[in-house]
Amino acid sequence: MKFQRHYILPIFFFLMVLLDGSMQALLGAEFLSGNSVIVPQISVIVIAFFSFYASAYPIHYYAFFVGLLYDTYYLSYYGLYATLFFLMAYLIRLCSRFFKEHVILATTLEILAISYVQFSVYVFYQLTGVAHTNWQVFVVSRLWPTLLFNTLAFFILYMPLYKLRRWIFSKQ
Amino acid sequence: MNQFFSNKKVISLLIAVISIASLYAVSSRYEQSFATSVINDAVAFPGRAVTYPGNALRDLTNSVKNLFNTYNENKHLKKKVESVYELEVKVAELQKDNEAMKNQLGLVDSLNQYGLVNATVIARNPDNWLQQLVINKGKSDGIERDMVVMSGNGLIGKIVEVNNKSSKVALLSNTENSQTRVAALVQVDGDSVYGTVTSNPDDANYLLMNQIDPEADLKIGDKVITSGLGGAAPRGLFIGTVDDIHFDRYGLFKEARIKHAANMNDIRYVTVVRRASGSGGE
Repeated sequence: MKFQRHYILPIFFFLMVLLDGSMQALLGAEFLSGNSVIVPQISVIVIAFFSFYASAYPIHYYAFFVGLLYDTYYLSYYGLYATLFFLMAYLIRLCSRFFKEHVILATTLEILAISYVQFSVYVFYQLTGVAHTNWQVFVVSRLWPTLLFNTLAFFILYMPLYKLRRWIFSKQ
Repeated sequence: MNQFFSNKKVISLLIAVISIASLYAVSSRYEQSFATSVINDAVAFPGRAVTYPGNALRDLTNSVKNLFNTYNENKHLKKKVESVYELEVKVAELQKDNEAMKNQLGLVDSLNQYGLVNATVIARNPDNWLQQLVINKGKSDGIERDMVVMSGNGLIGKIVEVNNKSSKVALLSNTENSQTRVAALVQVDGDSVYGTVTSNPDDANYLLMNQIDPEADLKIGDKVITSGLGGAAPRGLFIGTVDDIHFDRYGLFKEARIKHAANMNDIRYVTVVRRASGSGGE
């Protein structure tokens, strides 16, 4: 079996998962201050980007695997983020067949992906009795700041990610 | 459409859903498995490489920020120094007294003896619903489940998962598990008022102390400390100050809203407290 360049993608996703947790630990004073919560979701951004722009590869399986690591590292039970990441990558991969590769479409899908993950996690914790806020408060204090931060992060990361994608696709 | 709902696909979908649901059910109800602990240790290792440079940068900017208000701080602290000397002498005297009395009574150890382990925070759960931290010390450094964790000058949480080289801390403000309750007391003019401290479901920025004697005479601004009766925590760790007092919804006990002594949002270095006397960690 020859090494193929897209094998580095799961490792890259995994590093982004680590980056999420480190950012929350280091910048907690800024991200969690007052009543609003910013959830850094660089891992979601990166997975969504590659399921849109590199749909030839089995990104959704990578996403499932990375989601499992996310679960065990941050939550200590399995299944939540694994399922969410898998479904997100799978759906975006399905969509990408019908869309042209364009930055506006990528951004739209990005925003949808982050809202989908945030909202599903919120519903999950509402069902398990961890979250006590109603959904208006959730939208104002969590979803909105999170989307704002992550969309900005996406714009900053877009060019480096695009270059990485070109490197993966180029002939070896 | 017919193709999508072919037999094979339906069956594999069913199996996938069932296996994910059972995986979640098993892993959320039972003690962590050996595999989990190995994986978490393995993940925490590169996690350090991501966090440590960031921590160094953050420390640098903080020290530069501190440099700017050094003059004011110095002026303020100079005033305090005099009274500290006085206190020091007093404490030394009291400590000697205490020791002598303990010797007379034949007490070997008491609730307020403990050892400390310093640790660095590697990661924090990004979604912040479950407020958990991963720290860089584990079983090999003498950390056990249910030990309490301090940051700055206040109690912040408890150890909920121990791996060989890393462990997980659940914060007191965590609304999920009842494992994070702490037995506490308020000192009111020489008298102690007991209760338990839990998270406040209405406002994540505060804690709640409940099961307080309705006759107790609490005041806003009183200091809340651990009582050492819960088993895991030693006596005398600072939790916070009383911010608001009211009756609970049944009208049987008093409830106090408590302001954290530690900043729960900015936690980068923690101290794990190991109680010296037994009965901890059941």
